[in-house]
Amino acid sequence: MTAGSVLPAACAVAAAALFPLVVRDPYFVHAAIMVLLFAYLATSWNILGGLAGQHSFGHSAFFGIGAYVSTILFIYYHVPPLVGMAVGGVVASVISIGIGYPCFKLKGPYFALATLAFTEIFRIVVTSTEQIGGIDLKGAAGILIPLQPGKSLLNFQFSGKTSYYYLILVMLLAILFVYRWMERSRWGLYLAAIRDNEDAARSIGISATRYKMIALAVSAFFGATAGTFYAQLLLYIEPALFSSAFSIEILLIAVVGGAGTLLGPFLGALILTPISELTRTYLGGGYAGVQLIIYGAVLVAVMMFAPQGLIVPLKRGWRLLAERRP
Amino acid sequence: MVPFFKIEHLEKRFGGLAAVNNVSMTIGEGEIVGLIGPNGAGKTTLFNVITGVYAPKRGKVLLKGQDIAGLKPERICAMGIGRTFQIVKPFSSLTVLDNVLVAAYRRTASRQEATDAAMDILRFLALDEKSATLAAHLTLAQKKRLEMARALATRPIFLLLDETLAGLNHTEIDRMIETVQQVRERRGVTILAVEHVMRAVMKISDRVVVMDEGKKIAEGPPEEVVRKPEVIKAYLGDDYGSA
Repeated sequence: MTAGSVLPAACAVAAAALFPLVVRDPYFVHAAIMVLLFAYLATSWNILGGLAGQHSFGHSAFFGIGAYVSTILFIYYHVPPLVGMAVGGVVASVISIGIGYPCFKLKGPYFALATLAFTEIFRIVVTSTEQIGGIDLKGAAGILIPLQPGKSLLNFQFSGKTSYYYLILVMLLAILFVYRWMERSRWGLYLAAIRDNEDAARSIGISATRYKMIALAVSAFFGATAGTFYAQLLLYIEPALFSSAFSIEILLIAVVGGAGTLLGPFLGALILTPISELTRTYLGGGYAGVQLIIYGAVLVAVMMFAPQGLIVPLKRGWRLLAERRP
Repeated sequence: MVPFFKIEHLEKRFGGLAAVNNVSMTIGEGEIVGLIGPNGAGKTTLFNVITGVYAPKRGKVLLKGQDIAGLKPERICAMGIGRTFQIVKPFSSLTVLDNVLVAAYRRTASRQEATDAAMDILRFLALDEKSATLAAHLTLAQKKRLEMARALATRPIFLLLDETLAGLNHTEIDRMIETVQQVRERRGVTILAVEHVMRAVMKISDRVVVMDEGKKIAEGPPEEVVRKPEVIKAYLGDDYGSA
């Protein structure tokens, strides 16, 4: 991090930390949680999509796996969700390698379609499975997570929304740190080489499949942890968590903000998540569908005027401003 | 004695087309061999088979006696074969230094050592002043040098150059010829170079191999090879070959 970016970063973190103290309306705190959660998810997508340039259309698979694994472990084996979150992450990583092996044989749009197909398989299987080996998956109905008497971090249940807000804020800072660390490491350089030109990368000895797998596994791990968080926030999970629409939302947030940049996904979440939350709230009843029109219009505008993501013009503006200062 | 590099009866087909058809050749350690032939002769396909982009239908590729045919490109790089691409393939979003650094990392995990090695090579190719520039912003001549820098950073013992001179002007060609010669002299690298610029081929090659329609049609010292009727015929057509 350069000296010029420490101050704005510190200000942003301070502002984020103070937010729930100033804004006490639980609706807005919830909306802010959703922004941070989507920023977190889109950043986890960005580890594969941005660093390695592999645009997955199936990231919700990992989100869903995380939510279901931690929930089942909690209900049937009394594993605290905080532990379940880590287990879910590992399970998603392992499954991601199974998905990645065939998918990485494909490139570009074919890779994207294959990941989309895998996610749909998960959604359909979970939707149509009522029971498996004594565990009630409850199919399309979804699973309610029972409230625990003791509110604690280990149980991942808190009395107010504010605790969830701070938890996801810390998680987001952690994943941004991981992203930056990977980007600057030797691996990050390998991934950038693969992203820019896979043939050339292989010709200088980089095993493209191996490093793409590593990026996928890390990306899947974090995607799954977001799933556990979401499950514990709403205390309800359903097969819709695996939906491809949700996958595409994650991808769009990253791409609109700026794929392959540290703060692009966060910026994307900051813009797109409130649009989808607010339009759903205010227009959802009488004008169902209008939210999608607004969402679509924003996308078209971004693709026309900032195809590299909104972070690019923003950075340029910031630099101009910084240069003008004495 | 085991030859440094040898290919035996190599064949690669695309459907009915034999892009490389029963090609054999031997290259001694420290040689610079020019590979020439009209467009579509199979030169680049031969490179792609040697470097593992394609697996051959039959035949052997022997580096110091070990058959490397059909290995993956990254394995072949690790065996000591480096290459450049005819159509330059820089890592556009990375700086010139990072382009070379990422290759140097294949030999050492230490950032300091890799950076030193990369800077060394950039100086050798007169790209050190551009080290902080994005590869996308280089001129074609600089990108061609970057291709070579990146290949050299993997410390190859055998380097395949695919039309390193194409698209360069007179001065740039002279400079590149000198560089290729230095790669052999200072770094002891054996070179197989596909090249269309005949002036360069004549100057740098110890020996020339000519391909046409997937087959090797001639081989020998440069001055002799270009006078052979079958070579003239391949380049200029029947009328000139018989004249």
